[in-house]
Amino acid sequence: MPINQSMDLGLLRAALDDAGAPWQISYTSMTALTEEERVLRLGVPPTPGLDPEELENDKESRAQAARMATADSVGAPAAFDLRSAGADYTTRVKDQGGCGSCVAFGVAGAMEHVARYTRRAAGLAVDFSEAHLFYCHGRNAGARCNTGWWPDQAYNACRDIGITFGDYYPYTAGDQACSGLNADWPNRLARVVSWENLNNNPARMKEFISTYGSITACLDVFQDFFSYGGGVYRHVSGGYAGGHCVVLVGYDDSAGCWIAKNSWGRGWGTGGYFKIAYGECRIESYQTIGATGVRLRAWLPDQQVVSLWSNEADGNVWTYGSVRGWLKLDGGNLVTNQAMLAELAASKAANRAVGLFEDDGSVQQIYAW
Amino acid sequence: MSTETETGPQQSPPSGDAVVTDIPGQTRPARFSPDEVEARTTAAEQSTRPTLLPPSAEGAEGALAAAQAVTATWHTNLTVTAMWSINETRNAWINIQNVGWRKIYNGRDGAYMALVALAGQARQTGRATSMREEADAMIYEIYLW
Repeated sequence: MPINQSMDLGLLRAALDDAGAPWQISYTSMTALTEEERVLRLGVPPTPGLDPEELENDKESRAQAARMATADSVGAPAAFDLRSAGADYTTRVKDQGGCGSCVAFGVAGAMEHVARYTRRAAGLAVDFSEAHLFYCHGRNAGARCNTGWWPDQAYNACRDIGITFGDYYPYTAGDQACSGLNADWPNRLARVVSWENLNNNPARMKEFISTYGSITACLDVFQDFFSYGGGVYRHVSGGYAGGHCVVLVGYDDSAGCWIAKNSWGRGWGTGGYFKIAYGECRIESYQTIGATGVRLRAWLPDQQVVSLWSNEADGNVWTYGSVRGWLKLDGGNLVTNQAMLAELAASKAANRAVGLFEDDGSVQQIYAW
Repeated sequence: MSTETETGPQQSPPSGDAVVTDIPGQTRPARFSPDEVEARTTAAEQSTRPTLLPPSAEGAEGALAAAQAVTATWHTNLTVTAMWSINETRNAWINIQNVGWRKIYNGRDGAYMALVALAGQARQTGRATSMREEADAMIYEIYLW
């Protein structure tokens, strides 16, 4: 795809004024880059067969559909923001750097949020490896920094194989042949339970966001987007730059916009976040995917035993960890479960921390300090 | 049917207000047949995982209200003031603050051991508990907060 000439920011300012200033222009982490470098920070291939000149032809009808599909119609709140959903369940804003790996950030970021929000554990230490997702699973599917990838393929990999945590394969920008992956990665793993295609279904998107915390969405990026500094983004000026993938963390029916986390660092947008109007840039229809849960297999950080529970079912003993919430003890037999319960009870009585190894919601190993 | 008898605890806690005439301890049927146990436990089971949240957690009150909406009796945020057991199969009782003596569910070994352990911890540490009592006056579920 040909690269556009860089935008004249003076002209963009004038265009924004003419449009009633729907959003603010800002000197961002992208401003100082060349147009080639900016485009490399995208990473979703164009929709096959779709002419870039026709991307905005049905923009108004898409916006109307998103406004009509109110959250209220599916029993969801009229507005939702994962950053203030009783607590802040979002993870830190990351920077994909000079590689078209946005899909890995859009998927891994959504998984982090879903892992936290579905457990109502805002402090859960989840930082999943975009490098594992892009440089291992993506590479196996033919993805490279200059080609980008598709979220549905990434979600399949996260469901069928899983991705490790960031400390087991830290991300650096630039093609790699899965070279940095820790050999113990199967014991430090996050897997998607299942995923659903939410394309062209804004009501379902809102339902998923408010139920599971976040979803992954793609959008067409036009040049003015690189200079976004706040407000509700609408394409005002500039040519088509490419496809991009982000994490949707909220929506607001009264303002008619989605709330998203980008992967261009905190120096872009509003601390790395942006709002985009319903119907803009094919945000509902490019490729939109939601996960219904995230399974974890990992040592959890040491935490306090807040509560213990059992009922009349045999071997049905659970513990409530201060950062993890409820987890079932999975000793495999009654005697082992009883031993685990005794150790946890002792730590609880002494108000000492415990280390728990979790596999898909159950405790398999304990350090009672 | 077994003719073995079971006895309840015979004393009140030293610091309790209960009077001697309130002490449970009458002879009771010793054990249930396997069929009876199955019928009782199947009917009584209400959840396979904890549904309440610690009192300090967000949403704890809503979860408690939902739990109390079902038919069982909930004793919430109370301490265990005494315990009693005897050399009979699965026969242990606890004295719950402001409630009195209640027998711990005796249908299965694993569940019985876990519930007794939780009650013992509650007694030792003085921590609050929330307990579900069914129509047979036994404690089927314990949260140790």
